[in-house]
Amino acid sequence: MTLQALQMLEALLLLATLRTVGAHRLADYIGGFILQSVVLAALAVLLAASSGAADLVVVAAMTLGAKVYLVPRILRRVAAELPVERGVRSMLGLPASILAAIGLSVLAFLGTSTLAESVGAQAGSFGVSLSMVLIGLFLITVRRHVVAQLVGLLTMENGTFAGTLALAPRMPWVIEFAILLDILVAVVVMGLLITLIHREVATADTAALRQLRG
Amino acid sequence: MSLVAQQACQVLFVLVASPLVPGVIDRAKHIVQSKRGPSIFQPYRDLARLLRKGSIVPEDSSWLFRAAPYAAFITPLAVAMLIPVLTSYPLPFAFMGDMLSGGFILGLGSLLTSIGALDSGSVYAGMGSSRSRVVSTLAEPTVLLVLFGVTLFAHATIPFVVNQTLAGPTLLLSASHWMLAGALLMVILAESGRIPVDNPSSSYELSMIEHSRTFEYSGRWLALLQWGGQMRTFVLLTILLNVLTVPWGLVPEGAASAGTLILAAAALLGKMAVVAAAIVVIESTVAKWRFFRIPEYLGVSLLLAALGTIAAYATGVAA
Repeated sequence: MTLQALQMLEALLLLATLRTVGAHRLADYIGGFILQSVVLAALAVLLAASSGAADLVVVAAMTLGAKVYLVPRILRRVAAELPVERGVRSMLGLPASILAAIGLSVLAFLGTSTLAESVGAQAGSFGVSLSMVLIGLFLITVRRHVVAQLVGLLTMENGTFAGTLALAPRMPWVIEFAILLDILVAVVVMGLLITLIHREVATADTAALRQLRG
Repeated sequence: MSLVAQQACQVLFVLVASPLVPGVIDRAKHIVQSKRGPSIFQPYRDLARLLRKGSIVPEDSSWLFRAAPYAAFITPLAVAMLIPVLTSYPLPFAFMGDMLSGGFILGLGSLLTSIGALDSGSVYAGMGSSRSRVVSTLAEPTVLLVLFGVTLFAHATIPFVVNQTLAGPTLLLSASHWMLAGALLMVILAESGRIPVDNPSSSYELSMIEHSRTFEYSGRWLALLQWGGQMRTFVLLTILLNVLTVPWGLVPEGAASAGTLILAAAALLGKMAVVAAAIVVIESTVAKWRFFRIPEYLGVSLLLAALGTIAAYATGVAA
């Protein structure tokens, strides 16, 4: 029963990640990231309940605070300062992106199916975490809006967190605390950078950054 | 009660109960919009009215135009013989075909409807049939992947075997099972002309898909086409409910009598009501998508089906 609930949550995690791949507007990217983080926190709580690792409850609470409240707040503030654009521009259309994301998760599942056995993790959860990392990288590569790329980075981080949950559920909460602090600082710095870039070139489209060359 | 009689009951039930589903959805949608809405039996009245009227045939149309309504009417009834509508055990004709052939038979009905619409020579009917072909083409990969995934679990494509396997304790709550079911629901919504792919209550010809195919039909043939469409949706929902997700409330082996058959029919209608409520929520909250965004919608359903299949491998349920 716990195993099935775990698999259900992991499937939801992957779907939330793909929500950001299929998103049109910035609000959908941020919403997909929030959904991802909520599912991740629920996953941590479920693992804490089943394995008795109390640290995971703290980790889940910190995840909720940082990734569901603070980071989206900062992202929304940054997005609000940017000019209103119709959707996020991308180097690949949405159907092609979705197909690419399917391909990446197939790759991740194939790659981890043998690896997971040797490290003693659930093949499914390991595969989900690797596909999140790959999809995050994919978002950074093909999306041309800075905030969308930032969501890609955060997706990669969530993927590694999911991997930690799968591989080492008994890790102390201090580690995750440090990582979350890092993430928060990164988001703030990126947010500042985006605002500054926007002042220079009046766009958040990364393709326009070439204009900055002297 | 003989097995053939039970089979006849299944087909008759599909025939009689199918107009109820759009009736209930329409009424519920009106209630959500703070209106009273037509009676849930309005589709029956429409069919009865149309059946009493004569038909007009376009001058330049061929026999295809006249054959299409019958094909649209008969094909869902043929599929109703293959799937568990009321009984949980296979009936005599159930082994004529598996789920794949059921899909192809439904596809044949839809294809002939499109050809009949093209044959009428009407501009809007031609546009509608070309659009509905696009939707069907895009939905095809998802249907095949769902069938493929289900076959991985059940090692069979006969619906009566599949539903027994999927209702087992390990598969019932597995993530891949529900992703496949979700993918199929999205395809069913697309194939039966529901929001977000097509708006069934639209009166604007340029945006219609399903409805514009029947523009040149009138009277009895229009009734056959509409009834066929309703049965098609009913059969598809029955596959979703009784084969893929909640195959409960069916008549168990050796317990067939008039009473148990009626109970099974009531159970199926109850499950349909739940899906109808979900459809009402979708249609009241989501707007119809632009036609060129339909590949995105069906892409998501393909994605769900693919993930369900991959997850079946990854979690080891597809042994």
